[in-house]
Amino acid sequence: MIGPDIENQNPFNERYDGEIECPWCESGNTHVISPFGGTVSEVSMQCDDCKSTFGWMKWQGKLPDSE
Amino acid sequence: MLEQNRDEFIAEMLCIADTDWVLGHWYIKVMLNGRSLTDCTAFAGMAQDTLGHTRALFRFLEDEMDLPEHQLEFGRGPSQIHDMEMLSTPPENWGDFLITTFIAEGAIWQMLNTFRASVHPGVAGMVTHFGKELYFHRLGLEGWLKSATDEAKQDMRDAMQTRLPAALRWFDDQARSDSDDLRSSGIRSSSVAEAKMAFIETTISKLMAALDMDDTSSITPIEQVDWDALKRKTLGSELPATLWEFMIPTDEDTVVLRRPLAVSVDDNLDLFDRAEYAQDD
Repeated sequence: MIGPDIENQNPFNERYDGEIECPWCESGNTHVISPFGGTVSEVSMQCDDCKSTFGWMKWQGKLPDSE
Repeated sequence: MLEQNRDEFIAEMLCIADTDWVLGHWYIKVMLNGRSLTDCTAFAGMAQDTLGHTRALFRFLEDEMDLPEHQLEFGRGPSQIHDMEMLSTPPENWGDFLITTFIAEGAIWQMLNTFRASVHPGVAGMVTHFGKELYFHRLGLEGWLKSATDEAKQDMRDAMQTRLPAALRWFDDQARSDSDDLRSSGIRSSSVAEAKMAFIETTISKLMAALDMDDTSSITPIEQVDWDALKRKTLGSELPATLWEFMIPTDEDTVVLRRPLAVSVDDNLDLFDRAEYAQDD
């Protein structure tokens, strides 16, 4: 079967863990739980303080050549 | 502005839109093979983005080039599709899938990027919007690259031998780029030759680093073939029947269940290659 070897979302975690503020408790202690959320334009995040999950819109102006 | 380069513009937009059309179906086919729901939603999201870009390009061509509605999707046959030939051969394993989609995403972006500062603001805005989504495709694919097993990485190195030459051929040669009317008119803001170089310096360099490859000297370029410049593929080639059936199912049960269209799609699309299509009928 053609599919990923193991679950791994490192590039998303590397870029956005601790970078996005929780909209519920305003903590910056958050991490990526999935690169796509309810829509393709959002990343699913979770707050490590209040444990809420939330969607974060991806539009940050980066293009495929961006680091 | 676009009308003055009508044929070239339609052809080049279809090269991107049709390649996305096929690539989106690659993601659909593999969508349920994820090891987790996170993988599955990533494939689903990338499929939705990719097919969405095809839809947007088809709609743009319909509006700007005054093409009849739905004809680009349902009014063409497998010999009229401008897809990148690299995607016509199905993946043999996960490594092959990953390398091929990574290469395709990089090549599509670099081709789109030649329009990013187009003098036509609608074109420029659209491709920039696409790029913002493709950035996240790149992150997802890089994640899977990092997590690949040694066996999958060896499969990727093997797959590079055939996939990379086909992708490089897609960009065509320097002479074609130098005589590009779209570039001289400003519809393209950078040349295809520059896109090819950027593809090598970014996408291929990343792959080589990820796969611990020192050089690509063992990869043999594709020999000269009869070339259809408008489609950027081998002259007379067409999509494999099984792939085409997956994209536009013709079996009776599927057709019956398809939502009816408001207009006829009975073969009335008058594209520049209509005569060639008529010969195939």
